[in-house]
Amino acid sequence: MRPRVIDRVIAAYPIVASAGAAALAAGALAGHLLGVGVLVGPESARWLMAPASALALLAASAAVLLAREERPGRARRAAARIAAGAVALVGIVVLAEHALRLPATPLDLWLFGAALAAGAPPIAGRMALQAALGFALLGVALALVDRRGRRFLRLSEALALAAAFVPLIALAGYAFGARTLYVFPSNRSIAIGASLGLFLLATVVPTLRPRSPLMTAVFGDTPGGALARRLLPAVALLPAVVIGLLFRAASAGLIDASTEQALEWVLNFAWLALLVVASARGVDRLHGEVRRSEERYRALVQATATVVVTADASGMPTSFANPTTGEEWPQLESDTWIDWIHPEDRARVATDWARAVSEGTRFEAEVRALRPDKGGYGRVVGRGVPLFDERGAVREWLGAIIDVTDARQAEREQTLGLLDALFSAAPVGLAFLDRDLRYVRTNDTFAAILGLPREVHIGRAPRDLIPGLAPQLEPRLRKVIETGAPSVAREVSGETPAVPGVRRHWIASNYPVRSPRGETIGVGSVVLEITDRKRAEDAQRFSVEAATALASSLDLDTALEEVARLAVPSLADGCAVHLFDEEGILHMVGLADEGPGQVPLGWEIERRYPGGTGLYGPPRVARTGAPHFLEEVTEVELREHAVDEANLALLRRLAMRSYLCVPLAARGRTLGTLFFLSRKWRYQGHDVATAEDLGRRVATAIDNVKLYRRAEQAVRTRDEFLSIAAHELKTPLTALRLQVEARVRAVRRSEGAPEAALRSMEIIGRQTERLTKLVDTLLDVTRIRAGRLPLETAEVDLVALVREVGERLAGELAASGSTLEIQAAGPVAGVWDRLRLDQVVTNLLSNAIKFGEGRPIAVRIEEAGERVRLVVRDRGIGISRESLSRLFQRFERGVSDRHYGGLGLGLYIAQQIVSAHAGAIEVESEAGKGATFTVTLPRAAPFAARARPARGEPVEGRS
Amino acid sequence: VKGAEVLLVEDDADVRETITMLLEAEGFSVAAVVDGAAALARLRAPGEKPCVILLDLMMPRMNGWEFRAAQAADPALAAIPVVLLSASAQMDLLAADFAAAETLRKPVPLATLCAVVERYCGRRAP
Repeated sequence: MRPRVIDRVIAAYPIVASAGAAALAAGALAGHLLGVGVLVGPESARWLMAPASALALLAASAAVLLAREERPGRARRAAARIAAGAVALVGIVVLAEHALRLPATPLDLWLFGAALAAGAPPIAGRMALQAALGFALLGVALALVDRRGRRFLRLSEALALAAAFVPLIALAGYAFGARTLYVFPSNRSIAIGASLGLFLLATVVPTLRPRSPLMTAVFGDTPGGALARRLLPAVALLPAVVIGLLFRAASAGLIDASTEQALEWVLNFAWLALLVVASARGVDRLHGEVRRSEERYRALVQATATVVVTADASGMPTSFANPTTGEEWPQLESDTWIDWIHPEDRARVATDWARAVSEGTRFEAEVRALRPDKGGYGRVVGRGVPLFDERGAVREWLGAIIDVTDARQAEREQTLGLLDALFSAAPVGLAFLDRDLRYVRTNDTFAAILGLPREVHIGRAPRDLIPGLAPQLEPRLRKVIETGAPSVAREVSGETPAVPGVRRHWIASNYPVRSPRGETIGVGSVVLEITDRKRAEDAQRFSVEAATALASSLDLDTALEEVARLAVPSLADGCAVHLFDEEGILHMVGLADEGPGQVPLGWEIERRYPGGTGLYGPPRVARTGAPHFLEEVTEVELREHAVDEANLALLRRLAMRSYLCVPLAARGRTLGTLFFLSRKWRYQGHDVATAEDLGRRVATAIDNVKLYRRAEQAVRTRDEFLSIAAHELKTPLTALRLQVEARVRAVRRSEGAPEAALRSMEIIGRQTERLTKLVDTLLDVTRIRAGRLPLETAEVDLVALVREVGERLAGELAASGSTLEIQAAGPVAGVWDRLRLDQVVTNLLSNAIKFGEGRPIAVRIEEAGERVRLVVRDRGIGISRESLSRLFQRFERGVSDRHYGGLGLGLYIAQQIVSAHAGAIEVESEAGKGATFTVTLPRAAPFAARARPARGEPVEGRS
Repeated sequence: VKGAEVLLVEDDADVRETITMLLEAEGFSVAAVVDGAAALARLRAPGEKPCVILLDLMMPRMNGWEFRAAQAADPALAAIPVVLLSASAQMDLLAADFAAAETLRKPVPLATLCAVVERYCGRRAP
């Protein structure tokens, strides 16, 4: 809030006043010390205050400045007291001097002895009696400002005002030329300066504590203050003006003394009367405002039918009444009021009220309380507000009690209405059952689930309405009532009258419903229909499991049995799978049925009527490729299905209520059918789409199995063919080879055989050898494929073996232009199959020669702990990154097949041999930078030698 | 200028030697090289151009396809007839692909080989 101007003036006044007083005193002292002429004339006594007065003024000014703060420090307070004490002391000493009529002036002499002794100006050495009185009062007043307690403040203010009165009289005397007023009673006059200073400082004292009652009364923001501020200047200034003017007129001889007094009385009376009347009107106006505000308050209290409560500072109620109507709450008394509050609320109210009383804070509580006018308990809001006195202590409490019973009732009804709307419109089924499991209340969704109108539910139990589901429901409901523990999210499935014959699924949660006293009075059920989700889940599970069964089984017929079994019982009571055989004849290949004796019956029907009969079911669907279903299988339909009476009798025994048959269609062909039958439930239109989808998935899985099997068969056939072909090739080769060798020997033995013939025989021999190796390679591969690669192990020196192979390949090496360097510290022995290892080394060296581009080839043999390492390195064309990963696979080659021939089997066989030795073969290479093959072998092959079948030599071709 | 020499391009040493031997025995003059690169080098060397080139397909360094492409791109060599020698089962397809004068499927009967070479080079020595 912005400080008022008057407050700022009050705050500044002590500084201004003490500065003014100090200036007056300083001027007087200067006059005394310097003997300034103007100050020492004949009239000097009027102007020149005594030196002691000047000093006392200075001390009083200091005391005022020091006492300005309300909470000064210790030192400051002490200084203020000393200054005030000095002022009082000077006043009292001078008063004593006057009283004792001392001729000399001990204080003045002591203070200004030198100046007095000089005697230059006829100064009035002693302070006047009025001044002494004024200073004595002012000093004591200043000394009391700081003291704690209202009494001291009040005394201080009274003394200060008395001190102000003394110079005021003297100043009036100066103003009106009444010498007596400033000279009397001694013959020393009080100087004008001293009077002014004293007056200023005395009036300062109340302003030092602006919140004192006196100051508040005059300057406070209250009607009284406003009145005081208006009246005080008027009563002070206007009489002064009136009297002053009359006095001047009388002095000038215009009027005589009695006229002056008469006029003075008349004018003062007129003026004061005017002032009184104006003030009276002001007071009336203020009073009117107060009365109107009180009227509004009464009207308010009356309008709200509020009972007003008053309580004393200790919190004890003193009255309960509507102050306007006087209406009281009968029997409500101070000491028994708590009895009117509901017993359960008493403790709470008592605690809260006690806390509010002790802390002096607002109190509010809503409680159940007896209503004397209406009887019984109602809801009541009680509020209490503390009223404080000037010192901030609680003087009394004012409160109100309001009956809110009706308002709360309305709120409750609104809430219930909302709940009711929610209950009715909820998209889940909601039901309340009593302890006897009879429906008390249900909503529309619940009624829709049951397929029975809501009115029918009330008072009936689940077993009356939905007997099929009751065995699932009632035990759970009963358990909730007995244990009080909810059963949450349990699945329920079956039919309701809503859709007869169709199995549906729900999730039901049951919660106990308790009375306010906590006993279980019933059960609340929340029911959510999940039929669609459940069907989708079942179908999904079936198709996934069927696909898994088909993929993992070796035997298609077993898998199809399993497929049929997977459909039961979630999708059907019975399921049959029919497939076309190679000749295009439909056969039942899988059957599962829950019914007792139904599986043999099914197979009996299949035996007597293979693939089903006539125009219905699997034969029809298999022929047309379109699904077919009968929602309700009646006798009429059965007769249509049957080809003869015997057939009809068998079909009857199936006891179908409903069936659904879909094609097994894949890649545009119908492979067979999937047939579901149900004895209890009806299949419906939407089941067809799901089943068709299942049919497609199962068919795709069957198709994949068939394709895979065909591919496997093709591979097996090829391997068998290779094996046979290789064996068949061997026979003519054997004869050919022997013949060639015989011819070579014969030619060599015959003297003078032509060189050309020898050369020719050589080539024939070599090429026959090559052909034999190729055939051996093919045989090796077929052996490996069949899992037959036995090892015949013996001690072998790998270094010697490498040298031997190197020598054998010397011709090719020479033709290629490459050199071979064999690096080995000494013999490296191990237990291996010598001939197989020879095959590996030969293959690696041949490759190095073939792809080495005539650059040096290095072979390193080294020992590495329990293992032996063979590293073959060439600097030839290398192997591209994409070829590396496939390098050791069958028929794969690391080079372009437009540049290099070969079967693509060499490295495959080499790797198989190394693996059989529990070793590993690795390759590092980069296109154009050569290749490094590293074979790591354990020193001993891990298994015993076995009889070794015939086998061939290494082959050419990096593979 | 049509020369009298048969140029044989074949990487397998034994095949190379055998065909050379047989053709020489039949009176043809034969130059044998190991691959397409060697063949090009020989063709571009000064001297008579061969009357026919017997070309194997699968060879290291420069194979038959690459050689044929290089030959066709060289006006001085493009006119020399080329006879393919291959073990491939699809010789007809290859011939069309290759624009070769003739194709001979390995193993080639000697009589056929001689007849083909004779057609391009004429009968030489007895």
